[in-house]
Amino acid sequence: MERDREFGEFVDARALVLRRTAYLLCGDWHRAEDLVQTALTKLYVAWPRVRRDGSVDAYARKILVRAAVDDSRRGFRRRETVVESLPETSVPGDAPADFDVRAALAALPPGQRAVVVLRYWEDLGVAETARLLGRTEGTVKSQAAKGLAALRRLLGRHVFEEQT
Amino acid sequence: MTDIRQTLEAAFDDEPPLSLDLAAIRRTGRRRVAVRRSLTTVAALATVTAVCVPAVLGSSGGGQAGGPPPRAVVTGPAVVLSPSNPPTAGSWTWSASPSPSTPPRPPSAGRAAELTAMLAKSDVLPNVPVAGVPGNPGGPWEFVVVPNGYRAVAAPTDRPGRQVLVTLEVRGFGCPEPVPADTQCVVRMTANGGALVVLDYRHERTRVLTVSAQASDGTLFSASAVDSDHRADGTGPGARLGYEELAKIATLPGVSF
Repeated sequence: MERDREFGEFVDARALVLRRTAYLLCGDWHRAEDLVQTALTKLYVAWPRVRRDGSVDAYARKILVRAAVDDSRRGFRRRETVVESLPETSVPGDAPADFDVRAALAALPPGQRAVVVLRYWEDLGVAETARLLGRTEGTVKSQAAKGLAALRRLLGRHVFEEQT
Repeated sequence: MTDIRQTLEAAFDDEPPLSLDLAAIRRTGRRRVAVRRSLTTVAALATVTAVCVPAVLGSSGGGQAGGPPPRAVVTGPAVVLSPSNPPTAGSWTWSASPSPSTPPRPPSAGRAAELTAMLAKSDVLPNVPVAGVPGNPGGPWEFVVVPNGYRAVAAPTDRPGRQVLVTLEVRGFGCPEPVPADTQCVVRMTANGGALVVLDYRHERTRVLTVSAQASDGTLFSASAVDSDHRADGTGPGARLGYEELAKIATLPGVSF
């Protein structure tokens, strides 16, 4: 069956990347895999259409992100990943090896976290991020700025360039 | 400065191996595709129902009234109606029995079972493997009571996306006026002077071919072949039911409320 063959090839090529995105969004590898499995099932159903439209990657990302956002809104499992204390804010010049980006991401509000992941991991533009999350571009810009600021604060000397 | 993407990649240092169950994804996906096709079928059938809105053409009475439903189906002179060829007065050489406005008898589970047995014992069903349809309360070719009469559905297992629907309903007999878009209505005469109404609905990849005859009590007995993934007319095993096969079902003797 052609659908199965093409779909299998897509999964082989993209599942790992999708799971990484899901992990950044939810902070739990098992949950990330569940989200990817859910998203891929939806993708399989819509495969002929999205394949014809040439939008397989975009569609997979969209349903994955929406599943993750819905999941975070429901609050399930998120309680398991909430950190009890924020990582100590290091001073510029500290040793760079002891920061934990996972804890820093977990400390971000879900909205900021999703924006940071989409803007800086998935490398989406402001407009695309806004469309995917159902927010205004202004909100996305604001949350991206706040998210980056929070990560800078949490990660201390590991300051990164803000990409605009 | 550390690029943020590199920073985020540091989160993957304990990444476990991927353990996605691709076979399970495909199985679940296939089930959902089947359900989605069923829903598409429901939508197509709703269109067919709308197409069959009472619009009795020819009102002079007589004709086949009181007689047995036509059995020997002949591809006789056909009057083809479509949006580009609307019906005109006096273009008909046949007439239909008056249709009752209410069921002659209230639909009942007992009569549904009788109709199921009648259909099963007949030689009108296509010789193809069939299964029930998700969401339909009856098994394959099993009549159930619906608000306007009786309905039986079966899904040929050799071709996904296809269903055959048989209904007995209180409904007018004839082509609708005007004929809706995407639909062609053909009236075919039978050897004994009866008539069959053939509706052919095609929209995108959905095709529904319906053949209807008047039952002995004036109600409408129809057989529809629904193809939610239609691409081209096919022949041979697994091909969609055609006019002749549907007409055999629609003219099954003894069917009534």
